[in-house]
Amino acid sequence: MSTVEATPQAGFAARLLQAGAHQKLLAFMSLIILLIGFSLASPNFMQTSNIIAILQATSVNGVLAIAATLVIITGGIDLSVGTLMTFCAVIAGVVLTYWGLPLPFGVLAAIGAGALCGLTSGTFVAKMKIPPFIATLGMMLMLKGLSLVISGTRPIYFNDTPGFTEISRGSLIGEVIPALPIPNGVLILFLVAIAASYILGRTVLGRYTFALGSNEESVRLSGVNTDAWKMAVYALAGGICGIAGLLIASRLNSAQPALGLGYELEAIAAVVIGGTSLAGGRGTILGTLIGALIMAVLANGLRILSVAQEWQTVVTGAIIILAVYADMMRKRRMG
Amino acid sequence: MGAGRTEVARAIFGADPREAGDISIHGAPVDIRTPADAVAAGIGYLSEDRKHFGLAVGMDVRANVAMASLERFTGRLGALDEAGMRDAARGYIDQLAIRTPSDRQEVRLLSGGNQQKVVIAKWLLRDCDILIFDEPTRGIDVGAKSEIYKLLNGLAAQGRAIIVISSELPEVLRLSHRIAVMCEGRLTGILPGGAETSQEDIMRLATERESAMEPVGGEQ
Repeated sequence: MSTVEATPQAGFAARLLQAGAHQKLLAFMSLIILLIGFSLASPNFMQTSNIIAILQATSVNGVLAIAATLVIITGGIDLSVGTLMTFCAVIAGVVLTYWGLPLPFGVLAAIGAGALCGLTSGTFVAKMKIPPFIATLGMMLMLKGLSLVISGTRPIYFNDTPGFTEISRGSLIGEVIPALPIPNGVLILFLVAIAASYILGRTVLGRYTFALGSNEESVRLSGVNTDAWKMAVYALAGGICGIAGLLIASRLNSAQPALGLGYELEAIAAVVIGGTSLAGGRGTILGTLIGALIMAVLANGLRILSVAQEWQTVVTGAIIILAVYADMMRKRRMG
Repeated sequence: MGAGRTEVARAIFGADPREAGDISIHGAPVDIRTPADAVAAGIGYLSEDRKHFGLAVGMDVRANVAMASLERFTGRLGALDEAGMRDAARGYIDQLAIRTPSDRQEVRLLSGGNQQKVVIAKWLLRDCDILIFDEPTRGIDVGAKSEIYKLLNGLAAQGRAIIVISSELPEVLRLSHRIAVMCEGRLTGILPGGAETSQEDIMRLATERESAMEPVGGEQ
């Protein structure tokens, strides 16, 4: 724990990586370079329909990544975001299809179930002092099992709920501005991002989110009920996973109980690529959004260039390594 | 060192569980189980290890000064009053002569003495009646030291109760009205401050080991 300032002889690249803002800039530049590269490589890439497909593909992972960002800034990790998303989708299916209740009940149930599960994870972490990795790993498995149990391992379809697919596939913006048929799913992603940014930057919950990741013990010794605030952050993240559950169920017009595993890693990858520190205390929603976009652009562009799916996975993995390395370089410079 | 002074302070503050003893303020018993209870009762604790237990060094001066008082700056729907926190932080930067380019400077970039002043500002803003300073001048240069002495005297003159934990006997004698001496986890005596007490008086109590008093016990 030295207070030695960054060495002045640090190279240009290192200086670029020094501050969080620069890391975000780096991610943003990478995104631009990818967009230009794919545009040059294929005329099909920069089509409106393809751009909308990319945005649509970003929406679910983006929302999950925003949830993961909040927890990671506290210095924790949430491995349950993917299966929690599925669990919330199944809950929506139970409320809407099995019970036949109107749409708003399904929406509230999904978000409420998410928040409750998040609160449970938060209780494991804050009150029972179980390391976040283990606590949320356990939650991940429990929720995966519960989704299968509740649904009887069969998908739940939403055919009886008119308008359910509109949550993700419809376009409110397109109805007002026909030239801009941005799907609601993307609109919801941006609304969630704006709300999360506001909470992080302007509210007491956001302040404590950063403070917990920066130095939890000193926050506790400032007379703050750190356990309660940490649980609140996990609950908020869980609620956001509920929104992701609605988005994916709406897009598939069904709750697929076997889905969800693997989504948490995609989400965490987006967070890391976006420059949020896994050590906690630092991170931005904008960075995460850019990270999620990079992953979606990469997947889409490589597919258009007919690169095999297997190689797409390899490239994504390599990018995560690069992004984490950049994060470590930055921390080393900061001392 | 090893006398249990920090342990007592942390137990009073609720940072660690209390094994025995009661806490009373102005004669009224208070139930302190967590630091939040202690702060609500008007107690502030300034650890000797500022970086681990006093500050979020990755955050700026403004955020650190406000850390114990956020509810005061919280408006509707949890919105923070940034302007209010800025004014408060700047007020203490002036009042305590904290050397920092601005209230947005990250605390890790400040010197030890200025970091200590940020912690003090945090508790002044919280308006605590009782302040426990654990080795307040450790790792601080001579100039900042005398500033902190002046500040401690000023706070005491305002009627606040100041508890200073220190191993530096001249510091103890210079600052205190009453000196409680501990040895091996026990309170071995309370002495008056100032000219009536000498360093030798303190040392005698500070080395009053139990084994020396009760040679039969032989506990090891």
